[in-house]
Amino acid sequence: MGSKHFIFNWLILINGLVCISAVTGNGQNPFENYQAFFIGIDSTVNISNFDKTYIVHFNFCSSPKYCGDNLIRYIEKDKNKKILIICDDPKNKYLLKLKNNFYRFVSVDFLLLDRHGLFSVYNIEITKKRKVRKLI
Amino acid sequence: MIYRYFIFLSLIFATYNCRSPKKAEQSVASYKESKVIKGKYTIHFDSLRISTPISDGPFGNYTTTYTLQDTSFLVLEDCLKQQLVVINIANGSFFSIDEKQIKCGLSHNLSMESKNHFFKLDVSGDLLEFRDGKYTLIDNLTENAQLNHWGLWAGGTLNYSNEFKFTRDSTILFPLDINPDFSHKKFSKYDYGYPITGMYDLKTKKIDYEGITWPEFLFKNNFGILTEIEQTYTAENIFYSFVPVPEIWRYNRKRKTVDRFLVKSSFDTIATPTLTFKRTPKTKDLVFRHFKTSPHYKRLIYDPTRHLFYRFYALPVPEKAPDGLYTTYKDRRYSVMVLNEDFDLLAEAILPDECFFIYFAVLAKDGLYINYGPSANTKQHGIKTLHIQLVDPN
Repeated sequence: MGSKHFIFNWLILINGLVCISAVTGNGQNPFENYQAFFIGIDSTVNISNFDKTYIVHFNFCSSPKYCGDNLIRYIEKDKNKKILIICDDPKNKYLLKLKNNFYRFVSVDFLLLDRHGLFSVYNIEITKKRKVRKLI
Repeated sequence: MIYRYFIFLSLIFATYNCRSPKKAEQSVASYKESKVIKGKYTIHFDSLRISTPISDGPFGNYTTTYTLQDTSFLVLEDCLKQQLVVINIANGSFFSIDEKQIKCGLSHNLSMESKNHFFKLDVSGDLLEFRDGKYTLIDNLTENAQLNHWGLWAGGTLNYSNEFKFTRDSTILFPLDINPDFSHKKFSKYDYGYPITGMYDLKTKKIDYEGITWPEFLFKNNFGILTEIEQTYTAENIFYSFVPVPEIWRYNRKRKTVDRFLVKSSFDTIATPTLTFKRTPKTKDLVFRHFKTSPHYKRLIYDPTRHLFYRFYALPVPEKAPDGLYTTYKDRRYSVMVLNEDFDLLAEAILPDECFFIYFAVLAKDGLYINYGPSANTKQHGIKTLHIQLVDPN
């Protein structure tokens, strides 16, 4: 009976350690990784100051649902919000259509984002509630 | 009883873990393995910069390359001026062709007979003939194929690595693909065994197919976006170069036979892995990661004067660089293989770092020319080319 309790306690302990390492092992969550990255390249860019942040690669539309005009319509559903748009070409023709919110555009080299493992093939939406969402 | 049950479970577990990993299904037995002939030849590189008259997009709007009478040309499309700009790669001289009568911006390929006579096929399947400064629509090959209830898309796989060709018997060879809008027709995208090479007879205006059909092993193994077969045409043969595996298949048009060759790069030490998940919009990033890191083969170019083949091998890219950061497409390295007509490897060399993507590869009388470096601001910086030559030091 005693040995059963001993094994059971060890199992709980190991399980606990695994859970702790899963939470802390990767360091920061995606929101914090993005925030640290942008503050690192431009100290005036703090994504937590914005209602929403979009990381957009207009020249590389890989997903039809949140791409080009569809993406613009999606962003424009919000009204009178503070929105940060991070892209490789702030003069892109699609950005000229944005008008319903207060926008700030920041140019970032996507290769640098790739190097830090922060960009996928999708456009990215980051909410004020620290939720990072792939726009598929 | 419990003891026996435990042994039984252990045996099942051991059998499951010791089974051999699933390999790409290939009938290797019938393959001819090419030899490596080392030491006789070397590969020489030199670079050249030519100026270009337009700057939109990568290499202008790069469309195609072709060789005409031993001279290699790069074709750019200028949609603002609505013209094709044809640049001589060796000296940068160019001429333009008025395109006002036809659609601009569609991916297309050319089969050149002379400067004043060529055929043009675009992704919609429009086959046009240019003669004496004027375009004439001959046929729409996709519609023609659909009239035969094929559900195939003529020109659907036209890109920088596939060509179409006008042959001596007045037929035109071109790549075919499954038309996603017509997948319920005779050939469905859910079947292997559909044709991939179309043949159009200019005299009878009849469309047919020849060559191999989509092989079973590519259907059963998921190589992501590396599932591609590149086609090279000569008057006698159609060569199929497989992107994810080292094989090249030679289809003889007269005898209607297929010879298979195993043509391995000397840097090919690991096979292109297969995907274990389904390709969906949600897995697109994983598919791109697989594409970014996996080794594969690219482009097969035939040199009819020297009876040589050139082929490129994309070396595997690790997930992370030595500095701890992630790798990108710019970390890809390529090698160029020079092969004889039996696909024996005569020489192979790694391309310079700047050649991380092969945009074009075109033959000239003094060897092969490829792009050297990135494609931005071509009007300002021109186009840098890498000249590849097989040298016999003896």
